[in-house]
Amino acid sequence: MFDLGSQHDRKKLSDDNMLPVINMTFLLLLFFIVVGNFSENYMKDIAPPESSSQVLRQEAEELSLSADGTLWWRGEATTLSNWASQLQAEGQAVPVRVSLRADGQTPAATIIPLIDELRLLKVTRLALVTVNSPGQY
Amino acid sequence: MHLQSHHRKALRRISLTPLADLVFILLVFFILETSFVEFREVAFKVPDEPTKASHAEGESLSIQVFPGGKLWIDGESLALADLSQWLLRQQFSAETAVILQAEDSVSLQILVEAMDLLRAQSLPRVQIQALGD
Repeated sequence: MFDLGSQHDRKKLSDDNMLPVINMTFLLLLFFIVVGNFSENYMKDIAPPESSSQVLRQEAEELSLSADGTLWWRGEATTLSNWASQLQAEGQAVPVRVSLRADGQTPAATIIPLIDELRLLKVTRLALVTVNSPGQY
Repeated sequence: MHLQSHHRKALRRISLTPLADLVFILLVFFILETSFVEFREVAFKVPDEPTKASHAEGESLSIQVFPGGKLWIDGESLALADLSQWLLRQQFSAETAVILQAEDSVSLQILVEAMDLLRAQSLPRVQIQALGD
């Protein structure tokens, strides 16, 4: 009934129609590459506490602590003494400043002994990783 | 002339579909892997002495923290939400060391909220301790 032209014309037409889609997809791709950040998301089940702090997280050796009290480093469960020995095995000293990504529901009974252990390892400053309180950006 | 025209036709025949497929795959990868959460931090000094018995030098304020954000300061019971008002009334100097004595089951969220309020009142010297026996 309708003359849709030769097969070649149809193919050309379909490819031309795809150009805006590809352009759009490239733009989205660029957006995600530029704006998004690759965080160490192997600890996605740890929900840091909310705070109104405006201090961006600084680069530091980071330990994670889940609500059940398990300590994680580089995605593996560990203890503070193991962490210190692993750092020493890598030829690094225990840093004086440590970042702790702990779950907001972690009880004080877990946090406080950990702070004591960090003190024994000569850690002088502890940075708790937090996220913005809702509605605060 | 004939060759050029043939070359152009050949170029036109290259399908864009594989390119679109690849770009979509990359897009899905980036959507799933990237995060837009900006992490912040609340830093404090690790006490020099065991966190159960230490006492800060100079002027200090001890705040006992209980589950649900209940506070006990200088014999006065207070809710966490009222801490700012209380601090405003007391007029502490910025050098005042604040010791948060947390009961075992107090969550980190409550402690961070308390630290936020203290910092907002220019009291950055905060320590966390276990509530004494």
